[in-house]
Amino acid sequence: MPIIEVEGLTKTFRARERAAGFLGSLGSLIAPSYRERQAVKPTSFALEAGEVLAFIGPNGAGKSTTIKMLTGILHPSGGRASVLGLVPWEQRRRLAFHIASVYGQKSQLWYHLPPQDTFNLLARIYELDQVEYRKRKDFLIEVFDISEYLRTPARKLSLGERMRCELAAALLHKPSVVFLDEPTIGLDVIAKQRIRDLIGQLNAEEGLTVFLTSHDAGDVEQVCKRAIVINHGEIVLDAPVARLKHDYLRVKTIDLLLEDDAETLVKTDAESGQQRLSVQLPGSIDEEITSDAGITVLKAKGHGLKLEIDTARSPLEPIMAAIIQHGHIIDMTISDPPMEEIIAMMYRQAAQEDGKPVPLAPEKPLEALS
Amino acid sequence: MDILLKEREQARRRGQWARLRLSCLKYLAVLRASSANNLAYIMEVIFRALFLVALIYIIGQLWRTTFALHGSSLPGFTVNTMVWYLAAAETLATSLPALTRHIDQEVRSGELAYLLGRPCSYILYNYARYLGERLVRLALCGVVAAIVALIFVGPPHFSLLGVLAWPLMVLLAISIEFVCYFAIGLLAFWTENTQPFSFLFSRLELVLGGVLAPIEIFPQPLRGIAQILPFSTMLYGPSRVLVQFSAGLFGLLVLQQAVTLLGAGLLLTVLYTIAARRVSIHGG
Repeated sequence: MPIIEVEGLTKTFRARERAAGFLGSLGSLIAPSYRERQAVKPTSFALEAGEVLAFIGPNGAGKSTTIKMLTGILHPSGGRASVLGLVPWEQRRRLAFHIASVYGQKSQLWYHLPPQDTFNLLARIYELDQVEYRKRKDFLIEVFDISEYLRTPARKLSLGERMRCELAAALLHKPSVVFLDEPTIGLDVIAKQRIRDLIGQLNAEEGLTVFLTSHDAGDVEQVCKRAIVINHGEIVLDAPVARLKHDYLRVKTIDLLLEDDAETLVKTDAESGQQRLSVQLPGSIDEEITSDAGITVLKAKGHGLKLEIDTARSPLEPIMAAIIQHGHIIDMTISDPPMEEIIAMMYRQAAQEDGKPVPLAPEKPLEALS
Repeated sequence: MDILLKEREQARRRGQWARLRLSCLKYLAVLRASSANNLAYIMEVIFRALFLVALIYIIGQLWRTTFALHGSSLPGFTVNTMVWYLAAAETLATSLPALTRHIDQEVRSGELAYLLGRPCSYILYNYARYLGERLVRLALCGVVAAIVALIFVGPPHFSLLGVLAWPLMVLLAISIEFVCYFAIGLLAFWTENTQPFSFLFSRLELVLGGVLAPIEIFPQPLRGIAQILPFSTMLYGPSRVLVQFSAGLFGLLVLQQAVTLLGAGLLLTVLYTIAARRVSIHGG
């Protein structure tokens, strides 16, 4: 039985509009005009217990609004939803005992107090048995490795340290479902990885159901098993992450800082004028990489080399090995395409397939884009 | 999953008294955390309290001059009672935290999302948080005001009953202030800026609440208006009972406070119920 059921859920915001200039402002005071914006268009999906769902999309897609409706903070404009058998906006306080939410851009830790004090306060708010609370706290302190920050005021913690404490605080009452809204936003690569590992670990060990929103494709790839992509308030894809990865997350951008001149690794095609990577891949006798290898040189200037690699056609490892053979790499960053680009890709691919954008849901096609 | 939920619900049902106890502990914990958090702002509170030194000194001198010239026209009052009244009323007025601004920001920034997602009442959580902050400020301002008044006019002539009645009246007074300023903060759901409302209310409170002098010495019809309006329940009531206790006046003022708190509380509940449906937090 699904733990979360959503059927035709919508949310429309009404915002006051103000005309430009002094007279316009005066006019809107006398006769205000309002604009309605449908932040979430009729949306339906279900989530089973223990699933880790990525609810992803670009800024303004409707991700956070959906989370806030599912946690009971916002009243929807239409549709139905149930979380753990409860209607969130009608039974918010009862539901609150069984769910948790973490907003990456907002803190629940008291600013001047050490996390320990916030933990104690939350134990009271969630009416936890003090013996059980202490056991749970010790477990989370160990898992999140936060013992050394417990007595440091929250304002003095780094963003990564704070986020680990935020997650531990949210899980003190052993929720069945956790809503994570951009939990890795603003974090550096190492801190992001730590948070992703911890979410995965808690899902595996405690069977925690995770509803994660992010516009970082890395969160999706490494943490989630299923992804729902939302854009302009409607679902454009509901598929396993493996499929998302294969279809849309296979292109990686690699930024390299080399010890030698980057131009020694590229050759310019005489006909097209395009630059090509010129390295000998392990096991290959040819030094020229063909155009269908899926490797595009985005920039080769000074010691900097930027490549776009389609990992479905050219695995990363041999390419990196070949570059290392040529010289030392001082620094390297591998990044996913931005969410906006992934969504553009989805629309492009769907349009190529049959002339109109069609969602790629495996079982139930969504009418939203048809 | 429904079964699990029911089991948990049953486990949580430990009888009415146990539930009430857990609720009290919940808000008491918020109060404690808020007090501790506000100790970080101790310097700001001390500077505020220092303002009381200048204020009590200047107004005390004015009362001295007034009593020297027209003492007989202020029956029942002396320079001593006037200065101690001023110290008590100013302690209350100076210790008011920026509650409206806090609620306004919480509504606009979407910070209230965290609180709404918790198993507690948004109003009671904020009340406990406000009390924690207010009590720290009240204690500091009270100590400074008492020292200044002591140096300036000597020990007070409080009656034991007045001292015993004062904490109750102060609690009611600051609760009324909470309800009023919290309601003004909730106007952020409808208006662009709540500060003008808060400013207007606080000025009316200072003028009609009897912060500088007891309402009895106000000229008519101002006296009659001030006695009817709720502002006097916040500053005048507790201060007047402390410096000159009389059972009749105490009963009347407590009744006025209770009625004001009940009425304002009902209005706040209605306002909050409407506001909660208007929550519109865009984006993250």
